[in-house]
Amino acid sequence: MPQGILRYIAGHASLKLTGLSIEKFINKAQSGDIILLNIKRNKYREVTLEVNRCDMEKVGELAGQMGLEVEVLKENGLLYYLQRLLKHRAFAMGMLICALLIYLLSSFIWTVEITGNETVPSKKLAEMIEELGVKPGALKSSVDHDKFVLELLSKEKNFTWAELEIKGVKAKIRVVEGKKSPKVIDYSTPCNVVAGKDGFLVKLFVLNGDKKTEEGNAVKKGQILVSGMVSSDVSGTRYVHAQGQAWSHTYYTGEADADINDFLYRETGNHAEKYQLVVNGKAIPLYRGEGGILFKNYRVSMEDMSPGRYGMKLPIKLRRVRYVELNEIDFDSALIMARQKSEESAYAAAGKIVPAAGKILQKTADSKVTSDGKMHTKVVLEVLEDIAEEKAIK
Amino acid sequence: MDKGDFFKSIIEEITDFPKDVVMNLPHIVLIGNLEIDLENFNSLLEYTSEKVRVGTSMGIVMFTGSNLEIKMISQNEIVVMGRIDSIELGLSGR
Repeated sequence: MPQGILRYIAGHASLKLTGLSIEKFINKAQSGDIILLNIKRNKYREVTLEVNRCDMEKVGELAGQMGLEVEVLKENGLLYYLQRLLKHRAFAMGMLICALLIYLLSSFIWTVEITGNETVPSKKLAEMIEELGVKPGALKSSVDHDKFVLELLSKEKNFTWAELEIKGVKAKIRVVEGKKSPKVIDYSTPCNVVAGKDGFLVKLFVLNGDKKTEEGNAVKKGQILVSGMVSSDVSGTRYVHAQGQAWSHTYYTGEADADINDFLYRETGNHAEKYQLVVNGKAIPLYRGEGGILFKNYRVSMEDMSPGRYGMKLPIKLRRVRYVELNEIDFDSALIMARQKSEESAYAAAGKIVPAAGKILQKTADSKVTSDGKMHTKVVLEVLEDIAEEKAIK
Repeated sequence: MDKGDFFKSIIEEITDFPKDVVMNLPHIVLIGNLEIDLENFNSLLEYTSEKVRVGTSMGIVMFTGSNLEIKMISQNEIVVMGRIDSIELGLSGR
């Protein structure tokens, strides 16, 4: 361990010695195996020096023998601090209790954070996790990580992966939901190929079975495209596992509204902020006067900033009131912007239901203003996709 | 050189031991003009902020300078810091 750290732990004191026989004192100390440090002569009769805590007694005795006056200027080091601390017993006890409390309170889980669930409701998942022993107030050491993960995965089949991480007093649970694998019909089972959805058949590839419809026809959902029942004059009727691909044009629609009023004003980029202190639901302004805003047209938004962390609810909140200046724009421009917005939303809505393997061929949008002052847009996406589905013959 | 020292120098030459150990001489290390480390001394004779006089087996060694401080003094080592201007070796008795 470095000498400096050892000296700090052991402690050292700064002394002022006053008297005539200072050199004699230093020589006596040196021969008595006392280490003196940082000796500085201030005056002819005065010297300051540092001495280790363990040598303090010897130095005092020696200085007394030499007729020197000793004044302790400063005491440094861990042992001195502990000595001082022990003099104030109540304080030391308080610190000890505080440390114990911190240790005790930090050995519990205080908040549980769950992320990653999409189809499984959060409430149901929270209850499930609570049943497995991870809940606010549970002892951290009582949670068996591996057991918890395995039990969670076995309880909820939708999850393909789960992880529990306890960070401080927070338990973070992350889950990943898997997609259900499509039902696979055994090759030995006779089946038909049917249309999975309505569409306009463009190409039908038959790998096995009897073709039941022609390309260029409109097909309905559930209609048999390739039959697994094959009849021939030679072998009679046989049931086979029909296979094929049915590439069709399918149609997906999406609708969305946009309020024209939202586009009558445009943000200028200027804004003003004011703060309020909310105590038990009552707002106390943290600004002078009425807090008037100089903007002619503006929008107000409020944001509450709670000092409580980890989901703790405190009765005090800091509220930020934001005033954003707005500029009025002409109605035609607002109409164009509302149409753009509603089209974007409608395309996004339609795009969500288009299967990943589908190829969008054409997009059409139709917008109109409704009686309640909204721009309504309906979009239709024409998609090329394989709609073939295997269905067992009963 | 007296008879004892003569034998000591022979031993030093034969065994290759350090001279200061065999002949009980002070070992002085000077770092620039900032620090002096003196090992194997007998006593501190005088100390002021301009002058430090130390008694050794070969006589009095004196350092002069300004703002001199004794950084550390133990049974056989003294470290002096400050602005050192000169070192004087009073070779009495050798």
